[in-house]
Amino acid sequence: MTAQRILVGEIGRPHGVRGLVKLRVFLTDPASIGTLGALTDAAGVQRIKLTVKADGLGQIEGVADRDAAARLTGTRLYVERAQLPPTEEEEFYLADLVGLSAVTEAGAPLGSVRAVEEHGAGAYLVVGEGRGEQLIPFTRAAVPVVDLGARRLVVIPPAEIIVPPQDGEAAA
Amino acid sequence: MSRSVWKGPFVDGYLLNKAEAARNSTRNEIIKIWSRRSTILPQFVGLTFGVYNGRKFLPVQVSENMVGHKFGEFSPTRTFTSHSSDKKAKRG
Repeated sequence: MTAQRILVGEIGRPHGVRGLVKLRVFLTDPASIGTLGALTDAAGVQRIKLTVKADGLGQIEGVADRDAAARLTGTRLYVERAQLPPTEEEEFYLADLVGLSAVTEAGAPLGSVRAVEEHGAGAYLVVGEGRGEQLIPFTRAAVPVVDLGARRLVVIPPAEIIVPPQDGEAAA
Repeated sequence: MSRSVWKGPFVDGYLLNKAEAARNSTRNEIIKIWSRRSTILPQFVGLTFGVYNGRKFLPVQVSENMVGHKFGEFSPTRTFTSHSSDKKAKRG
């Protein structure tokens, strides 16, 4: 797995006069940003330690007044990929899947994974670009091998059964 | 007003035939459909459909929890990008 940094939040406007700030958190559980350990800014230079308070507020270590908090407004917060908690079996972070190269069983390249989407009916991979784009259901049958170490996955594109629209149904 | 119970759930009849054929097949298949209006029936559970959203066929893996919903509910027609950066995908 390559070392990568993941955007987990952003510091918003100051709140009150004691250095509290509003937080915009991009995690499934916003409160968990406080448990990830030290965060860094976009450049990876400044280390920021956060304590999460109620109502989407946060206290930054070393920031005790409103002016200091205002100087940090807009700072994006990043975390090392390794700091995220481990996943369950057959579960993958989208950040790990995006960018993997997809190949067929025979080794022919299909393109790279551009996105992983989920609309309540199982995840699917968006592989390739433009006219060559394919949407592959993220199932063991269609994606039997996910090798994060080698940054590749093996895809068996499913056979298509086309059921054309009938009378009374609009075909686009 | 909700649909009368005596009519049963609406589903395009031709979908049933295709789904039955797919169930009997052991191949890795995706059934591409335009019928967003059809109700998901228990016999569709375990199959993967490609539901047209006006632009492309989005894969929909049918599970038990989806029975009674319409196919169109799982194939959004508008783009939405979420911010969640620790989002996970489970391989089905």
